[in-house]
Amino acid sequence: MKIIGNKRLLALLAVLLLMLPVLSMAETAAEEPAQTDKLFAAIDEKGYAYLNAAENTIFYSDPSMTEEVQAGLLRKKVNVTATAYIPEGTTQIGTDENGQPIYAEAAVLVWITRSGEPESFYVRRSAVKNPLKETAIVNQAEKDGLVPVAFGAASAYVQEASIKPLVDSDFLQWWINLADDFYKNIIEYERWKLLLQGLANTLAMTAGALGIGVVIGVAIALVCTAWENQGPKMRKGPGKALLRFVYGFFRVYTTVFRGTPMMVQLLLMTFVILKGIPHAMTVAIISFGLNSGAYVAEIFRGGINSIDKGQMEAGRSIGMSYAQTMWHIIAPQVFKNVLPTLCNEFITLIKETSIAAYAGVMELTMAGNRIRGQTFSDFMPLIAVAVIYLVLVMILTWGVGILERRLRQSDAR
Amino acid sequence: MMHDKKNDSLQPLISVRGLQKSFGDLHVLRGVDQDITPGEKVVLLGPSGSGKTTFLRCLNLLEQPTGGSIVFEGEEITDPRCNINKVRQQMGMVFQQFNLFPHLSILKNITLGPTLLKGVGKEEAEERAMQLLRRVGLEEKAKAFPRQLSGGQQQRIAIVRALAMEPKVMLFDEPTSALDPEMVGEVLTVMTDLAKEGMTMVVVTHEIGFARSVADHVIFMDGGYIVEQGTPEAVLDDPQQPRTQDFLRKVLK
Repeated sequence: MKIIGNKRLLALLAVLLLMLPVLSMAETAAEEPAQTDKLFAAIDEKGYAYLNAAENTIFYSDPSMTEEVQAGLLRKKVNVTATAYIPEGTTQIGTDENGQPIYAEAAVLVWITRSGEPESFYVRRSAVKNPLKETAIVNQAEKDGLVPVAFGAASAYVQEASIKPLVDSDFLQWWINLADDFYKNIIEYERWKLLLQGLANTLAMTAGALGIGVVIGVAIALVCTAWENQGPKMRKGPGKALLRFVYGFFRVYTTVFRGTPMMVQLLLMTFVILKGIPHAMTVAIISFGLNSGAYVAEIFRGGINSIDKGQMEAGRSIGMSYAQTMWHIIAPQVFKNVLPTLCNEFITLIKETSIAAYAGVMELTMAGNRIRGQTFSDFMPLIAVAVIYLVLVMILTWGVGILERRLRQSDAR
Repeated sequence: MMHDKKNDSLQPLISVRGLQKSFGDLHVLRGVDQDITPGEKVVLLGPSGSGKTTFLRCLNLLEQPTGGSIVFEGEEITDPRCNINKVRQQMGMVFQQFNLFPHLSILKNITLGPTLLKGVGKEEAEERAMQLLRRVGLEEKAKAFPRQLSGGQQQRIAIVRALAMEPKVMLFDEPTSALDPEMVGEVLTVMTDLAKEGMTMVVVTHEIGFARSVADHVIFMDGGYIVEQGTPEAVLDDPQQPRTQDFLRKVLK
């Protein structure tokens, strides 16, 4: 009990530490002006530059332009130099107001000077609409000894860039960087909304799957226990044959769904079996529900079998039918026994739904991954996702604990 | 209080013919014939494994016989077409382990059967339950739950639960075997009262004293057969078969 308490405390502390930068940046965040019409949205502390505009926007930049960009939360004066790489054979599609040619396909290669040392950086933008052309540009540029990573129709010239850190302390800088990271990955462009949407989808999928799982699981458990307990006593006839058939079917069902990876099931459902359903989330809910049903069936089967045989006999001896005894006597006791295990299945399911990303569902993990793709940072989006899962599971575990204690209390009455 | 005397002209309430039961290769009952007339109190004695409990459980088909027939009030209940649930409503059963429903209050334990199966109104069922509870001296436990009760109290409630269905016969499967010694008396008292009121009873027990004072008919079983039967005096005080003598010597020691 004490160990658990300490663990909880540690976890809480970790969460608070992670939240610390958020709290500290709350004020500064508000006063940042929008930077939409500038070439670079931001250059982070590592020197990664982020292009500001949407896909295929054509930049018009003076070759000698010095742009003041925002690096994370903190304003830093940065001089950026960029060279447009124009692949051979590309078409000029016009000129800008400064007389600079604008090409249909071009890549921007950027150097940023930081503390005097010239460094080259990849400047990535969302891919142009034609991925074939994009690949061709990269190939050509690499042949020429360049590493361009920004694509699109571009005519950009940035001559020089430098970043000056605001503080000297490494320790402080680490925290500032973390705060910047947090701002960039979570706050900026309301990326937290993406996480929230992912969380909502994760929860919806889990709840839906659990609902299906419980219905299937209870049905399987009822049929299996009925066959196992009553089958030998039943007289030959269509009823017995039907029960045996359904029992056999459910055994195959549980064997298949517990014997193959959830991932394979999901992909099979999405791309083969339920190909006709266009809504990825619906397919995912059905897949998880079918899979969960096999496990929930075992939970309920164990629950029913754990009830003393005397209960069924007592019910039957009064004159109640098998079904009546199941409903009035066995089921309420089973439900009580099984509830904590069922909650654990719920917890497992929450985490398992992360693979729905592979079926194209925007759930929590995918939301984090999408942020990764937008900001090119790995740490913050993944940690944020992990923390959300953790908090979710901790809340549930806590709830299950309360539930279990309640049930134990009512047992002792 | 009507006093019961075995009436030979009466139709038997339960008529058992050639009853057999085997669990796989294990033959527990090897052909048992027995009539039980209304109002009769039958006590089944025998060592463990003798088949007496199986015989009792066959009477309401908690065990499906593998051979022979059982006729209850002229209806062959071993016939597949027989609605056993209807028949069981008229045969109360009391178990060694009480088997009260732990999630229901005492009152609910008693009223569930009548309200669910016989369409008795809730108030009427509760009123009747309270009457029965008063009879066994447990009316103040109506709102309690089974776990709060002692074994003896639970078994008395189990008897009341069976009685609430107004059965024509009561089957007792070693009702005092799971009880602490000081609680045996209270259960036997209830059973004795019930016998005095004329209830037909079939009792599997090791309580020789109870058999002697209450039974009309004592059956000694061993190895799946009825070895010896007759009045309590005949079987208990003057057993003819060596196995009966041997058993009684051990039990009465």
